[in-house]
Amino acid sequence: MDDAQRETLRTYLSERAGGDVAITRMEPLTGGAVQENWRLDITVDGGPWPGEHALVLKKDAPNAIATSRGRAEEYRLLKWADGAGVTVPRPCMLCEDPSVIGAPFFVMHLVEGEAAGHKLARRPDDDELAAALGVNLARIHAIQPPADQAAFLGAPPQDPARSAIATYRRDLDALPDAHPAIEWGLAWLERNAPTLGEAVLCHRDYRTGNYMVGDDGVLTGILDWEFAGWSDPLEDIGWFMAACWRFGARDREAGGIGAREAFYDGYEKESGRSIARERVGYWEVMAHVRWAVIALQQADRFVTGGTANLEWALTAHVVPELELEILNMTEPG
Amino acid sequence: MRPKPSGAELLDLARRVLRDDVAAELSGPARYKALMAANAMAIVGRQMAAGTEAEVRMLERLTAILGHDGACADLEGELAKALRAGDFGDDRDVHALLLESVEAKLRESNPRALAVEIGG
Repeated sequence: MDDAQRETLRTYLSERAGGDVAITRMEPLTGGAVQENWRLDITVDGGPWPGEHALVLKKDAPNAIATSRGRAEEYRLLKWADGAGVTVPRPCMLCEDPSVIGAPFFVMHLVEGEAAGHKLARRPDDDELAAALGVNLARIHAIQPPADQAAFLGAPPQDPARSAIATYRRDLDALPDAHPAIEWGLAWLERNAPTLGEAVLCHRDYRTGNYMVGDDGVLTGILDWEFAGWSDPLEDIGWFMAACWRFGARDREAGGIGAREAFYDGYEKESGRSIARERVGYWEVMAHVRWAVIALQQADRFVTGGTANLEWALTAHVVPELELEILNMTEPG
Repeated sequence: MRPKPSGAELLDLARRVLRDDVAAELSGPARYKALMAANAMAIVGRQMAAGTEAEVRMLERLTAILGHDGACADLEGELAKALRAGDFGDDRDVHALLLESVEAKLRESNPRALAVEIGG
């Protein structure tokens, strides 16, 4: 962001804050592949929010991938989650006008803590954290988006499992090589698909690595809402439990941080609904298939697309690990 | 004759310098990138050492299961199509073939994951 954009941003923030804003710090945060994140500290003189504020600015990146939501939609999701009592970075303001800093952006309060999966998986067992994550997921699944704002989510799928299978098959067809081990997993998922599907608002990337934990071990924020959408609530639970998101702490089945039952307990107490434990494994297979497909798409941006990004290139080499899990979970009886 | 040390030995030494000496002096994103580069070099080294043995075995097994020969990539494509169509549903031989293929890839891509899986 250049000086001119910074000044335009400052003027814009002053208008929105109803006071004179000074930007005291602005630096890029290491962000995801689909957006640009900035640490933004401001001081407001006058207006309803006087004083110092530590914030994060999230801006659409030029190479955003098609399946992820734009900032305006992510902001709306954050607002709903905040209103439903989910621990999230509190959203402050949305700017849909791309002329201010070149792309739509929103601003939220900074939350402190550690998000890195491999670090969280090295902390001592933490069933309290696992339970808190269960509670928060139950609150997400209870969100009833206002009908007039929810059009971007599309219609809830009648059959979340089968529509996910169809999506991943289409995704595989768009890639250059054949992937028989993933096809094996998809065929198993088709044969074992639940007969009755139910759709609620799901986070769809609810896993270790996408939430912040403070120094005291307390959950400080659920992050990365850009994949949220309608699905079976068990999809989120299976994604969270999946072995591929335990960061080496395989025995701590709830995201490498605590016990599976502690998470379930938090979810069930908050939602008043019981989790069909025998159905979660199905969605753990789905989780590995989904991550494998995403990893292949990411690698293909280098292989076919020519984007010289070593991290994306190496993602292809995560796939065999996922395929091994898929095959082990679907061994013929 | 190519000079000694061999390409494989050079690659291995360069990888260790990058991982143990260079990355140790770095921090943040630069350290992460150096470690990723070292990992990429490790994968290349393991692929060079493994040669084509696994692919030859896979070709034999694919030929046996599909009942005809062909190029490995074509046969894999045919197996993928058959699985999509619902064939080989609970077939133990196909499962064993896929497992062997995945394990061969893992020995190159991430042998540690294989050790974890077998050990645990």
